[in-house]
Amino acid sequence: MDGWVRAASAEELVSTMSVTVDGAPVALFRTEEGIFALDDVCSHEYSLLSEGDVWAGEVYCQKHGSRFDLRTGAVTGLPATKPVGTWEVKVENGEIWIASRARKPS
Amino acid sequence: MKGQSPVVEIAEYQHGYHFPDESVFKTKKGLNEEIVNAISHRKEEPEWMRQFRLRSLAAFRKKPMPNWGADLSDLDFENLYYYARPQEQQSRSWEDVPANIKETFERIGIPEAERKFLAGVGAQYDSEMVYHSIKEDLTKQGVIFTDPETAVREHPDLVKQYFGTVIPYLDNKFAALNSAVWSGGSFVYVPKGVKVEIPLQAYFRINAKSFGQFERTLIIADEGSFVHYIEGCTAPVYATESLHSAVVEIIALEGARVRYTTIQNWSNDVYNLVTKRAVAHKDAIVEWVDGNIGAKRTMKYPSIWLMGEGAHGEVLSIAFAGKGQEQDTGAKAVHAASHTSSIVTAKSISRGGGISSYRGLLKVNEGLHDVRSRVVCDALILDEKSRSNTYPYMEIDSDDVSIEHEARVSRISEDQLFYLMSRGMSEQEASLMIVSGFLDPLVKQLPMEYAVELNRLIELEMEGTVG
Amino acid sequence: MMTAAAEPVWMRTLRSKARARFEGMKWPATSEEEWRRTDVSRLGLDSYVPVPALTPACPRETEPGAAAAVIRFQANKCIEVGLAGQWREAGVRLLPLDNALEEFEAPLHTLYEKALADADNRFLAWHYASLSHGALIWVPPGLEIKEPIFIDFEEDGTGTMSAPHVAVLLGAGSRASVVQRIAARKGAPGGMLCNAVVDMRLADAAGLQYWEQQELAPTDLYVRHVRAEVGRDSTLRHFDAEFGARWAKTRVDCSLDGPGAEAFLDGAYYCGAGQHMDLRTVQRHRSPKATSRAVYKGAVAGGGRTIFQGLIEVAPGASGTDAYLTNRNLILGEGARSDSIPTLKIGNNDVKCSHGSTTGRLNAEELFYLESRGLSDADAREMLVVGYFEDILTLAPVGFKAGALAAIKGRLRAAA
Repeated sequence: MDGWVRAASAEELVSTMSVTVDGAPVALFRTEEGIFALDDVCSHEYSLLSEGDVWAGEVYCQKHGSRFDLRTGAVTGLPATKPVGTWEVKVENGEIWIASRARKPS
Repeated sequence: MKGQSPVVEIAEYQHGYHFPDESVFKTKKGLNEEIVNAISHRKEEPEWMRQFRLRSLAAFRKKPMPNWGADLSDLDFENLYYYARPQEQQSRSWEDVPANIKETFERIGIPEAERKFLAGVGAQYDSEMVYHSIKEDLTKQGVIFTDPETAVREHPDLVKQYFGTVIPYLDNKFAALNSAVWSGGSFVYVPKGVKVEIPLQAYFRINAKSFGQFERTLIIADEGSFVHYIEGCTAPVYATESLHSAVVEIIALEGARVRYTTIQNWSNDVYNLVTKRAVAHKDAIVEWVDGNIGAKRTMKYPSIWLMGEGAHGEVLSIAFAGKGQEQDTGAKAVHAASHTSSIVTAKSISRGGGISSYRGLLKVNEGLHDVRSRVVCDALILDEKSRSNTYPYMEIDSDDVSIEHEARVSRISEDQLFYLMSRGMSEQEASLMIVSGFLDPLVKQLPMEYAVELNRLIELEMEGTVG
Repeated sequence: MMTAAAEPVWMRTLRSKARARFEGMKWPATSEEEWRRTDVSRLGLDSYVPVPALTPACPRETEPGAAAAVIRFQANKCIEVGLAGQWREAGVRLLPLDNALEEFEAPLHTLYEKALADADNRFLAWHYASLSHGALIWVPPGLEIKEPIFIDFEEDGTGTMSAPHVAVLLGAGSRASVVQRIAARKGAPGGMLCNAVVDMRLADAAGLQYWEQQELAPTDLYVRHVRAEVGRDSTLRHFDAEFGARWAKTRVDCSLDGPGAEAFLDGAYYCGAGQHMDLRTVQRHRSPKATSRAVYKGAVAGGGRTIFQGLIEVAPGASGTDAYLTNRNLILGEGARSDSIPTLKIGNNDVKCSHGSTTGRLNAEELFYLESRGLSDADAREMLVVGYFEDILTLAPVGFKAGALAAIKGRLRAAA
C-alpha cells in the first residue's frame, strides 16, 4: 500500500514488539484501547521502549522508568523531559501497517 | 514484648530485633511476593498500591547494581529484614546503650527527652505535647502532614496523582526496592498560598517511623505555598538494619517554594542509598540542604528537574568521610525550560582514610533560552590516607546559556594553620577552626539548633572520638 | 631503504602480537565511561583496510632552511626529509620510521612493547599492528635546539586506515620544539580513518614543545593517542588544535614521573555542523612535587557535537602536586551540543588541585559594542572568536599560531 509499511501480522503482536520503519526502530504496543506505535528509543537515554512495562495507556521505559503516553508520545513521567514521536498505525486483513514518513509531531 | 529488658550484647543491640510471631512472616530475612503482599495487607492498602509494590519487586529483581559509585560489594540483599517493626515495640533499655553514644548525646547537647528516643529505647518521645499544638495549627491552614500509609488511605486522589511520578519505580535498583517495601516516611500537602512558618520535622510526629529503612516521603507544595521540611538529626542513629534506602519526591507547583534539609548521621555499618528528586514548575524554587556525616556508604544525589519557566533550584551539600566511610554524594539539575537557574555548592572533608566523592549532572535541553548555572565544589583532605574525587558532568544542548563549574581539592592551608597557632592555638584547635570556617557558609543555612548541633558534631569528628 | 618484508624481526613479532591483541578485543562500548558519549558502532570500522605497512620511500633530502629539521609525508610515504648540518653533526636524528627501526631498535622496541602492553582499546592495538609511516626524533643529552622541527602528514585515502606514528626521545637536559600538521590532501575525496599515535619521552631536565594541528577531510575519521612521560625537572608543552574530520576522538595522556616535572596541555577545537569531537586529557601525577596545567578552549557551531573529558589523577604518594584543568566552550549557534566532564581523583592531601568549566555564548554587550563601532555582525563575531582563542596561542611558534587562527576564521566564514 502506498506510504504504508507492513510491520507485522496482527497475531505476532501479543503485547509489545520492535520493528523497523524507514530504517528507524519503532515500538509497537497492543493494549485494550488498541494498537499504538512510538519511536522505540527513549528520549532520556539510550534504551528501547519495546522492552518496557505497559500500564494504563502508558509505556514505562525499562532503564529509568520514564513514562510516555502511547497515543501521543507525550512525556508523562520523569526522568525523560522530551516526548517521543508517534507513528500512525492501521490493521487490515490481519496485518499491521505503519505509515511511512508520516510521523505526527508531538 | 513491651516491658521486657533482656541483657543484650552490643552487637545484637545493633542488629537484632525479634519479629512478631505471625505465620505470614515465615522467613524473617529476604524478600518475595508473600512478604510484599503481607506488608500491603498489614497497611490496609488499596489494590492499586499493592499492584504498584509487586511491579516494583519485579523491577528490583531485574535491575542491575550500579557499576559506579561507592563500593557496595558487601551488601547482601538476602541477609536483611525487609519489614521492621514499629519503634514502640522495641525491647532495649537505656542501660544497654553504649557509653560512647551517651557521651555523644551529651557533647552535642541533645535534650534529655530526645536521647532515649534516638537510641531506640522504648520510651515515647515526650514532645508529643509540642507536636500536638503544631498539628492543630497546620490542620487549620489545611496543611496535611502525616505518614504515607495514612495518606494512601485518606487522600488517595492526591497520592495517586503524584506518587511515583517524580521517581518512578524503575528509576534505579534501590528506588525499585523502596517502591516494593516502603514503610513510613512523610506525606505533606501544602494548599495554595499557604506559607508554613515552622519547619516540619520528621521525628516529632507521634507515629514516628522516621528512621525506618525504607521510608517514602512525598511533598506537594501547591501554587504559591512555602514549606521547610527537616529530616534526620546530628546525633548518631542506630539503625535496625544496615540498608537505608529511602525515596523522597517533591513537587513544587507554580510559584511554590520548598526547602528540604537533611542531616544524616547513621551508624557506621549502614548503607545509605537514597533517591531524592524534585520537580520545580513555573517560578517555583526548590532548595536541598544535604548533610552527610555518618553511614558506611552513602550514595545520594538530590536532584531538581526545572520544568517551568522561571524555576530555580539550589543544592547545598556537606559530606564528612571518616575512617571506613565512603560518601558518594552530589546533585543533579536538569533544565527543561527557559529562564531557569541552578546553584550547587558542595563541600566535603575526608580524613582517617575516608573517601569523599562529588558526583553531579548539569543538563540543559536543546532550544532553551536564558539558562544559568553555577556549581562550586570544595574538598578538604585532612591527611595523606584520605581521598577525594570529583565527577561532574555538564551536558549542554542550548546556546543561550551561562554555565560555570569549579572544583578545588586541597588540605588545610599551612599558612592559615601557622597563623592561628602563632596566636596561641594548638594544632587541633586551629584545624577545627579552619574546618568550621570551611563549612560555615552551609551550616549558616541550617535552623539554629541544627547548626549548633552540627558544629559540635564536627568538633567531635575532628577529635575522632565519635562512636 | 627497507621494504616491509625486510622489517627487523622484532618489529614483525611486535606487529603479530598487536594483531593478536586486536583480534581479541572488541570495539569500545558506550558502557565504558570514556566512550559513553561516542558510539563507534555505526562508523563501519571493520570496513577500513589498513594501508601497507611502512611503504619504502625514497625521500628527497632537503635543506630545512629556517627550521631545525623537516620531514614530509604524502599518502603514507615519506617524500622529503631534511636536518640542518649543525644538528646532524651534534647527534640529532630525524628519521622516517622504517630507517629508525634498525638504528634505534633498543629504545623503539621498549617503547612499543610498553605501549602495546598498556593499550586499553582496540584502536591502539590496531595502530601497532598496522603502523604505516612516521618519524623518530632523537635529541642527545644537553643539546638545545631553538628552531622548530616540522612534521607534515598529508593524508589521502578512501576506505583505508593509515597509522602514522611519531616517537620523540629527548635526552637529559635537551630542548626541542616540534610543529606537526596532519591534513587531508587538497581536493582529496576523503573517507579514510587516520589512527595516529605520538609517543614522547622526556629524560630529566629536558624540555619539549609539541604543537599539532589536525585538518582532515570532512568525511574522514580521526583517532589520535598522545602518550607522554615527563621526567624529573622536565617540561612538556603540548598543544592540540582540532578542526577537521567528521569524527575525532583524541587523548593526551601525560604522566608526571619526577619531582619538578611540569606539563602544560592546551588545546583549541572548532566543531562545525555534522562534526563530532571527543577530546580527552589525562594529567597523571605519579611523583611528588610536579605541576600540570590543562586549558582547552572550544567553539561549537550549530549542528556540531563536542565532548571534553579531562582527568587529574593524583597517586597516594604524589604530595606537593599542583594541578589545574580548565575547559571553556563557546556555543556559536542553536543546535550545538557540548558536554564537559572534568574529573578529579585525588589520593593525597598535600596538593593544590582544581578544575573549572564554563559554557556560554558570545558576550552580547561586546558584540553590540563592536557593531556600534561599524563592524558587521560577521566581522564582530570573528573578532570576538579570534580573541577568545588568542590567549592560549600566545606561546605558539608564529607560523603555527597564524595557521590555527586562519583555520578558525575559515570555518567561521564558511559557516556564515
